[in-house]
Amino acid sequence: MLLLAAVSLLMGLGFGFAWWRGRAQLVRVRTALRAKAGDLESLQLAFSRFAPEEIVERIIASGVSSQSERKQATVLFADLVGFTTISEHVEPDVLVRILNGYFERMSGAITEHRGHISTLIGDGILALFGALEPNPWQGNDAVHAALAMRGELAAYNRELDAEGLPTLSVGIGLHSGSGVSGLVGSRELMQFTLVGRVVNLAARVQDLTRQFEVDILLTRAVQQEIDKRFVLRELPPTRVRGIEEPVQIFAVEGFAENR
Amino acid sequence: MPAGRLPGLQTSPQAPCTPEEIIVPSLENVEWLPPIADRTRNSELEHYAKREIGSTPQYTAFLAECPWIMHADLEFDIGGSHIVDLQDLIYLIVSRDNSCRFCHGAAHLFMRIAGMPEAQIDQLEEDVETARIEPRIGRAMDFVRKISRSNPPPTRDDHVALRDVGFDEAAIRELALFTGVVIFHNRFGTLLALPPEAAERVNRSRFERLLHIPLRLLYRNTLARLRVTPKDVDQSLPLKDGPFGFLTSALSELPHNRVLRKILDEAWASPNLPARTKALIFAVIARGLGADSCEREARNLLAAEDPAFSEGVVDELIANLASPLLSGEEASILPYVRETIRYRPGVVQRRGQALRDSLSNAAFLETVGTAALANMVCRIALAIEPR
Repeated sequence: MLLLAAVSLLMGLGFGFAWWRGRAQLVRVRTALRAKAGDLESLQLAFSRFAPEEIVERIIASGVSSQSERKQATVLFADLVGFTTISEHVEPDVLVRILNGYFERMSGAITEHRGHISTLIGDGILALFGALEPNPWQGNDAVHAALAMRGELAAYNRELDAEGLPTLSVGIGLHSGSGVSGLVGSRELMQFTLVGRVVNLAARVQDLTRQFEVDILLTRAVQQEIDKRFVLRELPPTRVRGIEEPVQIFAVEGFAENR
Repeated sequence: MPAGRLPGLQTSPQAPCTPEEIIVPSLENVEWLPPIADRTRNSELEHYAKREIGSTPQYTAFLAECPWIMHADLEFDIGGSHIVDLQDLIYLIVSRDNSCRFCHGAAHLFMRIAGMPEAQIDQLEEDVETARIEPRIGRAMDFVRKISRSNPPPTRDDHVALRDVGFDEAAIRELALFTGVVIFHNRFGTLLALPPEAAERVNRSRFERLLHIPLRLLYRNTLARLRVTPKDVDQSLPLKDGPFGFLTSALSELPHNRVLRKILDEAWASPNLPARTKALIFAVIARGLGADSCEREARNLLAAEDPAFSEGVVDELIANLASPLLSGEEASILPYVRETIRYRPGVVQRRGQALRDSLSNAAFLETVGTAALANMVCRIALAIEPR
């Protein structure tokens, strides 16, 4: 009888222990899964800064799709002037530090004004305004972003100068128009971007900053859309590669709050 | 806040619900600042809340200086005749979509108090995310998310898709109206950074979940009262008169149209901001959403308030969110309200803090309430008049 009771007790304890271990394991697994789900949600949230939510959801639900749409957007193209020369005279790790500091400040200026960076091409930046979501104020936002980039770069140059490092100068081109937005790339590398003449022209206008020795240039299409308080200087119409007609361009000098 | 009407709603048969499978995280990782408005007491408003729903919500203190927001909050929450089974899910999904921790936490809490297990609520959210839900509910959720995001807004095809699964025009309008109500709640909850912690804690804590039984008894009357048409809405209110009369008369067949009419009239009459500032807020938000009919109405209201706002002046003002004709308050309010159209909570709350520093508490509250109302009205207009 005593033996039976002892065996029953032992069995009970054994079952209890197994149940407790199973339960503890289940709780651990559920906690881990919940944490992973939280990570995934954070990732989805982060992705929505680079592509419209609907595209992110479509990717989650049915994989990468080639669906695209025509959008009215303002394109900002920025490129460092003379960076190749700098890169030949600075140690690689210092060069990367300089470049990362530059990107950090420029992306802050762009996102603060509701733009999103589509691509970094070497030391160049392609930023879009109004491509992720409709934005009737995209022209003003883009020009304010360009001016903020100018201010950020001046502050950064003071830091670089204090460290005895070479300072940077940037050329920025702005153009607005219609382009096709969607996921572009190969299976290995895809990005949400805008393609079309609007992007090419912004890049060409950025090239012209060297010719006219200014840092920010915009086209007539942007000029017609923006606040009259931006101080602009009209430059002679200029031919650019791939565009038949000379392009009307304006240098951006500043923003007169009380004009 | 939601009234708990989901017990009849079933998830799809392909999505069996077992507690161990449910992995939908809460919104607790969404950045959320401390409340932006001041807490003040308004005993009249407290009595009103008690009379309407049987209790005084804690956030009443944040709305004390702008009572119409509280009236809108409580009176819009009335049972619908066509989509009664979908309202809680719409509340949950739209609040999640807008990352409104305050409303999402409250939606969970109310649904649990109404008797739905947490596991089933999570499963519903997951089913909507992964489209494992019956077609009628799935299409309705697609529609309400399009209204909420407006990127792009719903089209005629979306109306056709809804009709194909059994929604008639009145039901579609009611879906639009109720989604607008949730958008209003989400906006003022997020823009004021109303504290979500209480609801989130009760949802999360196993011990506090035990409170649901007494809470269910305590709030039984509140839930019941939320389901009936409020008695103090004057049913003879003319729908066509007053700001945005074109919209309230377009919704004339719905039981809640006079609530919207009453709230619009109250908001317009509230003294914390001039009527012309409210018209400007509506005009900016209508432009941001591409709601042409609402922009036209806002321009008419503006011209009626101040003839100096000619067509050309308003064109330039809306395009640049600035004009020499604006007061100092308006010059800081307009760039902010533009941010309320689409936002990340932490970012818009920081901008709200900056604006709060330059306005009185009452003016800030009214700015937030008007922006919330404009987001609601413009999105409803876009949804019921698709392109």
